[in-house]
Amino acid sequence: MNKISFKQASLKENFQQEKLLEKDFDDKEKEFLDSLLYQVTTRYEFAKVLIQKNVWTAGDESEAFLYFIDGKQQPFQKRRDFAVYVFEKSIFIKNLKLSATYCPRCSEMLVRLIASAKKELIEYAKMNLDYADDPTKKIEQFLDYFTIMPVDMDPNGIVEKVRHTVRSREDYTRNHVKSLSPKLNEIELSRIQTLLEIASSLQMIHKIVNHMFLTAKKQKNYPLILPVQMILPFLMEHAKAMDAAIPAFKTGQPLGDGIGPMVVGKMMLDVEKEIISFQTALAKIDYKGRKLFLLKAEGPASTVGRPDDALQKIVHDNKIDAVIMIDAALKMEGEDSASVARGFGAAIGGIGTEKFQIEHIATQNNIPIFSIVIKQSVKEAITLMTKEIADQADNVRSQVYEMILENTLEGQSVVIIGVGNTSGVPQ
Amino acid sequence: MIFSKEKTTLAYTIEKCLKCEKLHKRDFSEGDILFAISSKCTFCDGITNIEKIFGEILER
Repeated sequence: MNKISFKQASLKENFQQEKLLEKDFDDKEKEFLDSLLYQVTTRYEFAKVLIQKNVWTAGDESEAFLYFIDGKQQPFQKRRDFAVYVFEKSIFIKNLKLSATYCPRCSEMLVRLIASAKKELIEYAKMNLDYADDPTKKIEQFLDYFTIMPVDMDPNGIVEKVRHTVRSREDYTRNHVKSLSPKLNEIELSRIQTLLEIASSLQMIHKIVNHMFLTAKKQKNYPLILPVQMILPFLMEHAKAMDAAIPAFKTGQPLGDGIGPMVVGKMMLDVEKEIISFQTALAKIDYKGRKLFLLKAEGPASTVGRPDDALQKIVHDNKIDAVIMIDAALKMEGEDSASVARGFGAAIGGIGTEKFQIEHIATQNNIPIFSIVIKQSVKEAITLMTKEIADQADNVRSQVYEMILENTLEGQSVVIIGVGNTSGVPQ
Repeated sequence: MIFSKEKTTLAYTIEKCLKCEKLHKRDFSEGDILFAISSKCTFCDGITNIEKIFGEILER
């Protein structure tokens, strides 16, 4: 009885020797052994299992291989079968198998979420669009539209290109929804556009997850599922949040992300407003000798407006001494929801083009940017505002006034931007 | 976490009387938007406007 010593370092040679010893291996088997070798040598899990299981071998190896695992005799006709047996038992492969069942389960769930989003969208469109034919086909065409991001090998001017691409897509969707029903008002239009974006995003997530899973399955390349498994909980959190956001968008309720516009919107009440840039409202008020420029997206439509363009125009015509941005921010695990924090820098999410533009304007004109953020989860940000967040509105407003007094002098001008989706929040 | 039980969110509207500043909580109804004039105050003859709209989670 000889004990085979499987050491991590010599594992590769052991397998290569086994490949040479077994003359009747066909190409497919050799390929399989190679892939097995790759898995083993990269992960070392096999070696760990062998050491843990205290593997022994006995008998004439030319006929049948007898192995003792945990004291029990296990006959295998080929070494390959034994390798497969141990490999199958490894923690590594167990985890992979778990991923392989987890992925389709999430994939099925995504399919359900897409179907639900589509159904809600089509029902809403049928109710609100003055369209003679069934809009289902047209809507399904929109869902398959994709956006090709500009090439970033030369990053010079990339922000302009991204902004152009994203805005072109938004304009295209808006114009085509409007073409279905020219009499549609801006609020309904913005809601349909948002619902379209939700259904389209869910479809895209499902396509990516499904592609990774099916490729791994087809090529028997299970490690390919691992990165998907790692990001899948985050993707599912986003997908479920988007699904939960549909009723709020349909009924025009304020979202968690709307806390910034809610704070600024109340400050704008009973003051003359003007539309300074696309879907963005401006009001000017005086506060303790300071001139305040209040900016928010034009509510109660579901839009985030274009605060960067608005700031550009304000700065072009006025001398601005400070910018204060109020926005919802993603909370970290362990942080309390609806907690308020103050800081420096542009508090604005999205693809990054607006943030870039605001930072650029501030830098060129030497304007400090202060920010107040209200922490919340992804789900809270895009679903109906929670009581805790709504209750913070007055506190945030008083902090804004405090910040103005702390950082500016009488006679100076401040731009206050309420960043976020302004669904259900007028001004 | 992903496959946890379903929770229902109930939407509420908080109205604030401009005269007596009393708050009144009612179910959200479609068409409610923040800061809009809502209804007559149940305590005085003042007019209320919508102060807050929020959701509360009902756990089953």
